[in-house]
Amino acid sequence: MSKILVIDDEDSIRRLLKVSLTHKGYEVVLAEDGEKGVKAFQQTSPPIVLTDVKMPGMDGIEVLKEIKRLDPDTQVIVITGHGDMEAAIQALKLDASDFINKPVTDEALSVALKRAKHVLWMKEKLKEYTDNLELMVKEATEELRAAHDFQENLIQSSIDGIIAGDKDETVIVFNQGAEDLLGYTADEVIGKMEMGRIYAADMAPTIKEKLDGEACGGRNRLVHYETTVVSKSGEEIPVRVSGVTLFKNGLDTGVVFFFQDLREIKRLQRELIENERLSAMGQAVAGMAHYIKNILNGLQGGVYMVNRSLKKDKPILLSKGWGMVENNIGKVSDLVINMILYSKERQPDYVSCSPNEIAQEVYDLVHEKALQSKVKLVKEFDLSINECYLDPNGLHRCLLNLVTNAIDACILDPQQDKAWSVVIRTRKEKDGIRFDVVDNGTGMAKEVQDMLFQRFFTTKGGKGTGLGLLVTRKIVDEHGGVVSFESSPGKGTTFTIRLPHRCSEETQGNISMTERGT
Amino acid sequence: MKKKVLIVDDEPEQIEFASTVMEENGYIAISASNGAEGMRKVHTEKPDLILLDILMPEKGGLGMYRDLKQNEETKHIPVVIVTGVARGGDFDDRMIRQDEDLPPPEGYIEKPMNPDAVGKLVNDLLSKI
Repeated sequence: MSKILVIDDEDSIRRLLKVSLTHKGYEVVLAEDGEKGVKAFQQTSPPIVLTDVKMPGMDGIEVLKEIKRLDPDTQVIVITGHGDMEAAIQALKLDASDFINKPVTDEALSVALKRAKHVLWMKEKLKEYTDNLELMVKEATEELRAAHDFQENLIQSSIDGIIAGDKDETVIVFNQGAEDLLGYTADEVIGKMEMGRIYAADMAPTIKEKLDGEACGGRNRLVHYETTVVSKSGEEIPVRVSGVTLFKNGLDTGVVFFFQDLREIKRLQRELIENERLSAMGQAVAGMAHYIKNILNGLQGGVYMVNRSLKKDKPILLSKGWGMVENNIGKVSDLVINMILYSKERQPDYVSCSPNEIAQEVYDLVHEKALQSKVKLVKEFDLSINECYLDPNGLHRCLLNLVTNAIDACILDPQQDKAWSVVIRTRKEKDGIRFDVVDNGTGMAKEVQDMLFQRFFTTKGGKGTGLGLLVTRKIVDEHGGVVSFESSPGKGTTFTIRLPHRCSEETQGNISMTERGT
Repeated sequence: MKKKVLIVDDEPEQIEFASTVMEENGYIAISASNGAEGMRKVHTEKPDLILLDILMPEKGGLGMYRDLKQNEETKHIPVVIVTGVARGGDFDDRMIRQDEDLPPPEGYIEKPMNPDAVGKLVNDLLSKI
C-alpha cells in the first residue's frame, strides 16, 4: 500500500482528503503546517506528498523545496488557491509533479495522483534497470577475469614451454615451462627478444618454413617437429615443438609455440639402446667363446700332431697337423673380420670393380674345402656385367659367408649319397646386379627361417657364431641392396643379394664425396 | 692285443686329433661322423671305449648315448663325452640323462681337448676292464 503525506492548515480539508485518499487505497499521514509536514516526511518517507501552498509559517513552496532537497524523487503535488497561477508556475519550476486548484475535486486529485504514480513507476523502473545493468557489467567483468585467470593459469602451469610472439615475432608470452626449459625469466625476454633466437643455429628459418608450409600438420600449423633449442647458458636441448599462426579477422597477429623437453626421453632412449647393446654383447661373447674354443681345439690338435711328427719322424702327421693349424688360423681371421665388420658403423668404400672377379675370388677360396666335403662348386657368371661401383671387400665378405653357409648346409645334410652342389651365380638385372648362392643341402625349417637374421643365431652349435648373415645383411644394407632367401627342408636353400646400380662416380658423386670424408 | 677306441664326431679335424692321441697312446682308433654310423661300428668293430661328441648338430649324439646305455650288449662300453659347452659336468649330465633312467657317462672331456688328460682318462678307464 502506498503512503501519502497530506499537509494543510485547514482541518476540514485534511479530513476530507484523508477520507478520499483512504478510500483510494492510500495510507494517509496528516500534518497541519509546513514544519510538521517536513518532520512527518522525514519520519515516514512517503513517495507522494500533497501540500497546500498558502499556510501560515512555512508555506507550501518552502515545503516543496525542502522535500525535494531531502529526496528529489518524491512526487509533490501542490494545492493552489483558485486562479493563483503564479504559485502554480513557481511550484512546477521547483519540480512539483502537478498542481490542483481549490476547491479540490475528486477527479483532479485522481488525475494528479495517477500522473505522480506513473512518474514514480518510471523512476523505479529506471533505477531497477540501472542497478541491473551495473550488476550485469560487474558479473561479466568477473567472468572475463576468471576466464582470463584460468587461461593465464593454464598457460603458466603447463609443463610444456609456451612462447608466443606478436606479428613482428617479439616474445609476448613466456610461461613457467619456457622459463624452466630455457633458463630465461619472462621479464628478460617479453617484449625484448625475438622468437627465432631460441633455436639452435639457423633453425629459425626452417621452423618458419615448416609452420607456413603444408608438410608438418598443414598450413600455418606445425605438429610435433623435433629440433634443438639453446638455453640461456648455451646448452643445446632437444625438443618437440608444435606451433600455430594466430589470426584475427583474417590478419596474421602472431605465433604461439609449444615446446616439449625431450632430454629425459632421449636419455632413456640412449639407455635402452645401450642396454640392448650390452645384452647383445653378452650373447655375442658367449657365442664367440664357444666358437673360439672349437678353434682352439683345432689349433691344439694341429700343434699336437706337428709335435708328435717331429718327435717320431712321421711326415704324414706333420702335413695333417700343419693343415689344421692353418685352417684354424683362417677361422680366427674370418671371425675377427666379421666382428669388425659387424661392430663398426662404417660406410662402404666404393671403388670401381668387377663383381664377377669378386665372385671368382670367393670360388677359388672355398673350392678346396668344397671338394674335401664332396660338394661340387659351380659358377654361373653373367659375362655382360661391367665394372660396377661398390665396396669389393664388403661384397667379397658377403659372398664368402653365403657360400660357406651353403657348403655347411650340404655337409650337415643327413641324407646319404646325394650329389651335393653349390652354385655361385651372377646376373645383370634392369636396375642392378644380382648374386645367387644355391645349395641342395639340408634346407631350413620354418622356425629356423624365422630366426635367421636374429642376433647371433646359429644352427652350427659351437661351429658357428651367428655373425655371418648379420654381417652380410649389414653390408648389403649399406649398399642400399636387399638380401632374400628361399628354402625348403630337405631340398636346399637359395640366398639372393640384389645391389642397385652405381655405375659411375658422377651419379653417386655427393654420397661418395661425403663417405670419403672430403 | 691293442684295444679299440671309437671316435664319434662330425668334425673331421677332431677325429684326426683324437685318433692321433689314441694311436700315440697305443690304441687302435676308428671313427664315425654321426650317431647312426657310430652305432653300426659299435656292432661291427666292438670298440672297448667310445669318445662321443654330444653336440653334433642334428647328428644324434644324444640318441647314440641312449641307444648304447639301454642296450644290454653295449651298456658296459665306457663312454667319454667330449663337450664344447663351458658349463661343466653337471649340466651335461642332466642334459644327457634327462628324465630317463640312464647311467652317467664314464668320463667327460671338455674342448679344447688336452691330449695328455684324454690319454690319461682313457688309460685309466681301459685298465679297469
